[in-house]
Amino acid sequence: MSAIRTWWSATWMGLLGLSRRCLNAIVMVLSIAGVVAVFSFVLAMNAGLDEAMRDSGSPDRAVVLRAGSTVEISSAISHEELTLIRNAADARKSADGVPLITAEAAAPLTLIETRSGLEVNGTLRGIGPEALAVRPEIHIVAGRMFEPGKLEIVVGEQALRQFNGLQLGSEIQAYQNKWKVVGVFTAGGSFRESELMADAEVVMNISQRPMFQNVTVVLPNADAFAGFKKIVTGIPHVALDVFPEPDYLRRESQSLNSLLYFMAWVMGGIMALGAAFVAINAMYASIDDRRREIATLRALGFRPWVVIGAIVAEALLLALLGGVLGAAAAWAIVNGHTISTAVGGDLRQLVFQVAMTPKVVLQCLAAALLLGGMGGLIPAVRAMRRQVVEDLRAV
Amino acid sequence: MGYLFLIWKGLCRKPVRTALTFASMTIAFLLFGLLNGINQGLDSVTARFHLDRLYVMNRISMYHPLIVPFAQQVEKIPGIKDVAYWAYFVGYYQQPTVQLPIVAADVRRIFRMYPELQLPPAQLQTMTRTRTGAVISNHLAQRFGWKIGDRVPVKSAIWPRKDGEDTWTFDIVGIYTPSEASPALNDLFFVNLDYFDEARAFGAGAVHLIIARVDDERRSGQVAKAIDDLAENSPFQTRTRTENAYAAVQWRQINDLRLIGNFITVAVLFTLLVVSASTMMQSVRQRFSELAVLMAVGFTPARIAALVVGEALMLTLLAAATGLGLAALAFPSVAALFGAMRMQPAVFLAGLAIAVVVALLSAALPVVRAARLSIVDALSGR
Repeated sequence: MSAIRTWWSATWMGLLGLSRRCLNAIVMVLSIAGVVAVFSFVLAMNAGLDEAMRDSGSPDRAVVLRAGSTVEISSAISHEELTLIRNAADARKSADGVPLITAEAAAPLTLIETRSGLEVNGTLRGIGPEALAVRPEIHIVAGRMFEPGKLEIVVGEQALRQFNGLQLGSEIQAYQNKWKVVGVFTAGGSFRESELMADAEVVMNISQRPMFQNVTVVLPNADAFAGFKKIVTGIPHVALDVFPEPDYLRRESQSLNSLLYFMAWVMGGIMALGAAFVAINAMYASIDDRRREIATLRALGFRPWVVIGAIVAEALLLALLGGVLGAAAAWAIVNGHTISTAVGGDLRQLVFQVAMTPKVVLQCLAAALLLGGMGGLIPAVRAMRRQVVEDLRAV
Repeated sequence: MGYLFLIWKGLCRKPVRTALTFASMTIAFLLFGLLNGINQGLDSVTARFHLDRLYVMNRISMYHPLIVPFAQQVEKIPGIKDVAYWAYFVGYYQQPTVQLPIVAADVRRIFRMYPELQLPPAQLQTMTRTRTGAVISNHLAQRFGWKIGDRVPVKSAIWPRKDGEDTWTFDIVGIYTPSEASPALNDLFFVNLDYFDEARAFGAGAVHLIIARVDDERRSGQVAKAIDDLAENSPFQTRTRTENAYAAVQWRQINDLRLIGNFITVAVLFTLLVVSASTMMQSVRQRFSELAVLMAVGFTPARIAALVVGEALMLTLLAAATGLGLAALAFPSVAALFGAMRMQPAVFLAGLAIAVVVALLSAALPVVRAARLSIVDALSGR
């Protein structure tokens, strides 16, 4: 008990003197804030991408593609194959007894991004009548759903915001036809909000490609996946691949991941190393300024580990301050920012939001504390090896 | 001796402190070198775009086909010197996650169109004679350990063969080296379009991209319009872009990530300045009595200032040289992510300029304080 009390009084004394060493303290806080700001930016981008791609999948949904399709657009599943899958699959049923299976036909189309004026690869996704039952996260928020068989489309909320000419009621030219925008939808923040949707049969007719690109089946539960995969890949004369939806989406966002990974871990790692040096340097300098003070404490009988503990506690406090500052800066600058970039082998335009989730903030604070702890511990241990008598005379 | 010796002694006064400052500055310059190197590398590629090349695609999207006869018509348009075309698909090697960008083309036209892709003429000759031949980039060769004479089985889900197989076997007969960065052309696996057309189950004659070279790049706008007009009354419509417009789409991701790079650079430079300034402040403050001795033996404030500035300069310049040197060493492996690019000399110049500015700024405050020093007080340790 008394050990804690002596540690606390040593720490308190250190903190009281902090104002005299404020320059060093500020350097340490700022350098850690810088690293944490960059770290949180990259992690928040990653979290946003997670929300849009990886987490928008549900593990009880299975996606069927033509075997070996490297990108969605290269997959092709015919009506006959859809029937085979429908017959073979033991899908969950809706309240009306309809099996929850839907097939989608994705047609690429060129859109103009409003902000940059660049032509980007948009997606017109043809969906079947069961799509909304399979994906309850899709909601029409303005206008109405398209009518089957008509040249009508509904646009995702992000698509509406980012691309030209998709306002409700406007007409767009695609596949040598005029399409009318009749509704706006949301899809739980997922990548679908960057897309346009229309009736699958219409899309296949107009694009002259009578093939679906994927079939999504809702399984009774996530554990049923292995059995389902066995059944589908066992259908004779048809080569199909089956993925749990989250895995499928992770694969689609791979190329962006590798660049983000580089930014977060290679660049972030070098930065963290630099910040560690800065933290050690700042604490070293601050100990250097306090040589007489520390020697006095030791002469009075404070044990070395108490003094080390006090120094580390101070470093951790400063690091925490830096971490909070950095995360707050990142929050203020980039949280909710929209990133619109190209993903996947087919460079489809994906719009997602930078999301400073609690997990991101905690990760960043942990990194800050690690840097601070190291920054305090190393010079503190070093300082204990010095001669008390000599330091007492220090200027 | 004289000044340099004094500066050196000043730095060696607190070796640990100097070493730590040096290390953090070195890392700052390393980061600056890498990020700025990538930025300038991309800029230098953009600056070298070949604006005499036009890219013709189906207006609907880059995955919709064009046909070879259209390319032949394009070649006849006045103002067009040469034409190349390719069909593109993503194949996979051994397992679906290992993807290969396969380009089926008339390779002679391709290597005429892209002189920056260097391929020994003898290998090009062999390629035109070997139906199942393939010419791959040095990156791919390195990544998979392939060499000339290897047979590579490539699977494709979209392009089955007439014989019902979905595996294409190609013989590597050539390896090309891109002489400048170009993400779109870095990693390609070229095969013969004739062979691909003959053997694919359907879709013979369909290509995804037509590349046209114009006589006079100032007229490329008119020629592009002429190409699109030509397609207006055919079964498909086209969209013709210049090379930089085409690359802007291809490089979207990388360009977007430059934003993060700039964000990091600003944070790093700011920290660099703060670290350097605080080191100089403390170093001068702890030496007030020494400086007073120097002044007492006749050093003018100007000479003291020169001493402090010199110390700051030596520290930042040494750190800049080390950090930028490390960046130059690490650059090739980092740049591989973005395509072949070289570290631009401008990066080094910018780094050294920053070192000088940081040194001057961080020495400014200590110099002012040292100049105001009262010799008597400082000598008596007050």
